Amino acid sequence: VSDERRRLEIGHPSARLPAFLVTPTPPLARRLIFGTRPAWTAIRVATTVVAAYVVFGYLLIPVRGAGHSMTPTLADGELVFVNTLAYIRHPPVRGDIVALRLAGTRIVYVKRIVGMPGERVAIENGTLFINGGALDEPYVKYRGSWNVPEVTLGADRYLFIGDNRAMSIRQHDFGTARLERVVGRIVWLRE
Amino acid sequence: VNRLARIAIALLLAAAIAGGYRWWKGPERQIRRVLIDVARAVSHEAPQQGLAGVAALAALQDQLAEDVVIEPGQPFGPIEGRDAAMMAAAKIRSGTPAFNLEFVDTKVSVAADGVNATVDTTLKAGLQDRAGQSSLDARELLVVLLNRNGRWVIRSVRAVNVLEPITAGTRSQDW
Repeated sequence: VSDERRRLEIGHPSARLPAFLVTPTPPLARRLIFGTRPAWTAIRVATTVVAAYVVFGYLLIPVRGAGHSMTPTLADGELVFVNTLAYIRHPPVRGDIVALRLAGTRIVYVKRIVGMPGERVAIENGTLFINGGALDEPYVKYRGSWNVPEVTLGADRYLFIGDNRAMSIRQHDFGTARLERVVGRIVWLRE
Repeated sequence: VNRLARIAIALLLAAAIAGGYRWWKGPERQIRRVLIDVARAVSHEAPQQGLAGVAALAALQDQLAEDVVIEPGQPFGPIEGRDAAMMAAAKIRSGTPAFNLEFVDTKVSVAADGVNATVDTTLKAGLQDRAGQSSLDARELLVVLLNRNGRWVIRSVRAVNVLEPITAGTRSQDW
């Protein structure tokens, strides 16, 4: 081997060109990217992709808030997740923040459950009354002059309202829905 | 084994191609196309008047039945007839700096007669007002389409109440 050729060999201290130019794909880089067993690496990557698709597509659906109806609990543009398995073992309870489906789950309403089936509900100056008693709602920081006469909820209907009672009642979507509308419970909210 | 695998792959490919062709020629794709065209006709990134606006609205006209009824839900009143719908669309195009309409989670059901179809979809409307403020509205819609002379046209659009008002007259009383 001539001296000139030896100088161009990988790692030779006297090489004029950097090693990565002399050898386009060094074995080390290949090992770092594909691993020592490329077939197993492919299986691992495929498993990760499928797992991410199932988890974030069906079990823990990411939702970005838009609007101010849940202020201050949920800020406009905040990212939260919907746990779709939350109500498999038990039904929702009062105070849960849930996602409600529209035609599907790509766009959902995020509201808080404040009234349970069969209860009498009313709103006076932004304060919610359940079966005649005022409901303690520490999450409601701002109250407007909302007034709704007392009404009894149906046997299968929950009452959903956002936490922002300062906004105009006509701009705030609230009302009753059946459990089928509930996609799941909101998790990972900031405190 | 190799031969069997090759035959299985060939059969799968053939089934996929047949399924794809059927979908391509079927009514569902045409109906989805109608919704995409409607969204495109109404959406704009800058206020449009003149020829560009007229061309966009002309495209919308082809998607609507003459006796179309649109009930977009509160706070908007019902719109009856294609002309009224076109006027409403023109108002949106000229009156808003930017408006983006999109249909998501679309489910199409075509009746056995092949003439009627129902679409359950979510309308997502992004609006920018003159002050530059952006707002987003979303509502579930039930769209009924008819096949007239081989073309699907929208016969009615009705907003679905995701949250039923707790009393029928209560909210309007307080407005």
